Amino acid sequence: MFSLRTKLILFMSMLTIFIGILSCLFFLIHSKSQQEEALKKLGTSLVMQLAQDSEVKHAMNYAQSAFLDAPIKRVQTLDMEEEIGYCRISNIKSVIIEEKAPWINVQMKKIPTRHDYQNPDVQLTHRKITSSGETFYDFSIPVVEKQTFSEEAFAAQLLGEIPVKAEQKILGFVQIGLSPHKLNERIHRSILRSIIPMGVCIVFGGIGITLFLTKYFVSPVRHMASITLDIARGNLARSVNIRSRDEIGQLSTNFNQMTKALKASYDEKEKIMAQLRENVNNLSNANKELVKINEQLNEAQERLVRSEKLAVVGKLASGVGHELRNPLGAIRNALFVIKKKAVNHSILNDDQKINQLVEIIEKETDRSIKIVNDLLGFSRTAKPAVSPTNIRSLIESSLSRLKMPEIINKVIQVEDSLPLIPVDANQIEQVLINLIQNALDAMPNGGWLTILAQREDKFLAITITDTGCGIPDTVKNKIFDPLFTTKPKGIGLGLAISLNVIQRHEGFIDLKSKEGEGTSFTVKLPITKT
Amino acid sequence: MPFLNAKEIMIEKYLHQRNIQIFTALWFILVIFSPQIFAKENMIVIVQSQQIAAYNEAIKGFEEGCKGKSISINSIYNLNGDADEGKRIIQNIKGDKHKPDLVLAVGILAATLVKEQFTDIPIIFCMVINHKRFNLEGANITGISSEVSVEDQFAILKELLGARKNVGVIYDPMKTGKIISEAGVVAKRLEFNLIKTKITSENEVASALKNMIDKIDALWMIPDSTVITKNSLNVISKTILEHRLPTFCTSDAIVKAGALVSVSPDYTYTGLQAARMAQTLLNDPSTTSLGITQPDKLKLTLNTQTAEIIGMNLTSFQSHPDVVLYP
Repeated sequence: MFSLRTKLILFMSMLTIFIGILSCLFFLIHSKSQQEEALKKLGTSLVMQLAQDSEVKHAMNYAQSAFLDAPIKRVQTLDMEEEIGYCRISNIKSVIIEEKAPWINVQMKKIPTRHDYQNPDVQLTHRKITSSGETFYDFSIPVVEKQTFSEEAFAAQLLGEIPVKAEQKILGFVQIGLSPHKLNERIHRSILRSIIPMGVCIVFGGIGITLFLTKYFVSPVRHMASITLDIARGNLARSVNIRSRDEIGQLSTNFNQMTKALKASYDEKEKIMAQLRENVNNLSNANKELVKINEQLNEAQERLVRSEKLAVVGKLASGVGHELRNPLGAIRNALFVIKKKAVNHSILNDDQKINQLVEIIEKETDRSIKIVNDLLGFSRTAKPAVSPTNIRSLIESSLSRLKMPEIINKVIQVEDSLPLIPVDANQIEQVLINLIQNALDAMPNGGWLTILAQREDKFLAITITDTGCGIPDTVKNKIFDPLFTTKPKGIGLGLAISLNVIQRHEGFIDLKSKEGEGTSFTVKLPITKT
Repeated sequence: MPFLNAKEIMIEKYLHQRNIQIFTALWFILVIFSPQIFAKENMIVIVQSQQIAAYNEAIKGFEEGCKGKSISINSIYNLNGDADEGKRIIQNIKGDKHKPDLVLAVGILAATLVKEQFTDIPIIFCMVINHKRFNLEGANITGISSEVSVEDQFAILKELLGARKNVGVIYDPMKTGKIISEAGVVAKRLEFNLIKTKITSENEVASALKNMIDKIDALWMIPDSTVITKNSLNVISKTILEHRLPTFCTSDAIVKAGALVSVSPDYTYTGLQAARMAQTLLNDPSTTSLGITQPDKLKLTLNTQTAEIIGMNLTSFQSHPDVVLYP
């Protein structure tokens, strides 16, 4: 693919060469025509001079060739460039003299003689004749004895009469042949000295002008093309710096205006985009905020529901506890008495069956009492009585109150130099016991119990991890609900009470569990009392 | 007789005595110089360029005019239109021991050669066509133009054309350029639109006429030897008759060739006019030249056959004095 510049240079160069060749041809033809015209004028003047020479007329009258020496010499002196190839003078009877230049090869008899010279109306003629490979411009004129004065002939015509014409007797005939060899030399010289240099000048000048014009016209276009590319790449700050008053200048001005408008539009778009991005960010933040608020709302709602449940459960528990504790206490006391009497009477030792039943009654009564106590405990959760407490000792105390199966491996990691935290030691100990007991319950086949206590920013985190069965996802959000349990013998108050206690301490309980891998409860308690 | 006072009587006596003195002086002058005055007859030589009827008419008129004026026409020389021969003849006249008192040159060849050879005696030339082309002015040269003035020609032309204005003219600027520039001024004054075409050779006449023929109402032919030739006259005559256009010229010969009207000098009267000039010059030797004057008497030549062909009524022209009708 050729560039515009190359195309222009090629086209203009071809045109220039064409014009150069045409000009050379034109000047060659013109020069040749001029030279031929000059030759014809020379021939005419020479032949007329000879024809009008009185000595020539005498020579013709008397057929004396000697009389022609002087006239011929006179004519030869006028032939500065020796162009006369031959000269023939004859009277009506015969040729008086024939002369030819030494450099002429053709024989005089081969040069045709005029045959119509007897007709006085035939004036000067010239023709181009070629003989034996040589060309001559032949000039022929009749020589008349007397010529009428032309103005008088005109006067006679105008005044209404044929002029009294003297007898125009033709004496003879003058013929001169001019050789074109000098003419050809001149043309050749003209070709070498003028036409070829002129052609070369036209071609090179034309090509030079073409290059200049191409540079002048195409450079701004190329410059603009490069700037257009820059602009297409996004550099809208570029502008064309052409200040000419022609079409290119107008184009560059328009181009700059267009770029300016484009830049303004681009800037406007960027501004709008920035605003949009800001709006999107704001919306995103607002959305996050909303999600957070929503979560908080959900949490609050859950808490509220739980609180309501707790309140209901607490009320129920309180009522049931009060109603059942006393009968249960009476059953227990009665059972104690029975048992004491039976021991005293050795009833129990004898009747194994009764003994077992008593134990069952005792066990179930204790269990019922425990349930009733739990219910009462749940309903009566008191406001924590906080005091600075060492969490390590609290953990150890909790562990000591639990029966740790042998199949359980325990790991306790308590960070050194943990601060004392303002908690109700009894309530927190109960929470830890609940959580550790749950962990132990989840690992009936043994496993690892890990208790980790560490500081996390403004909180102290106690994480109790087991490698038990884990909590299914479907029940994760229910396990802190009161009366919800997965244990066959549980009543579902442990975690609810624990959560209630921790919340009263302005702390949190986090749950992480994966079914089949284990569960991790993290209790976070504020280090300082707010 | 009325009564005169003394003073008046004295004045009358004085005048009477004065008359007697003048008369006596005149008588003495006549007695002393009468042989020279009455005995001398001036000798004039006539040279004519060639033997044509128009020249002969002028010479005849001159001879008539000289009769009884103590002017003797010594010889009439014919130059036969030959410059060399003419020169020899004039040189012979000049070398003659009886030198002429005045030379009348009839035609341009005669006028030119006589002017060249005679510088000390008065020369009168006539019958020179378009004399302004030739340098014929001189201290001893008097002439009669053979052309009618452009004003006179255009006056006739206006009468001929009526409301039509476009007049065509073909000319060779080398020969008749002066006439055309003069005609331009006159044409403007007379509200003619002069359509001019320059030519340089006889061969251009046909194309020049062809180019202008549709734009003109009349063709004006001036005495231009490039335009008026034997061949071109045929072409012009044929073309204008085909287009039914009037042709106006200053030559009755051209009217005979087909042109409609010509206004030209009366040749015999030109001779008579020259004779009067000769008499004036000879009677007052201190005057050597009377300048170049216009011919006194003109004649109008009409070609009735052409008028019929182009459908033009020439009745009004026939009432002009000195009208010649052809054929």
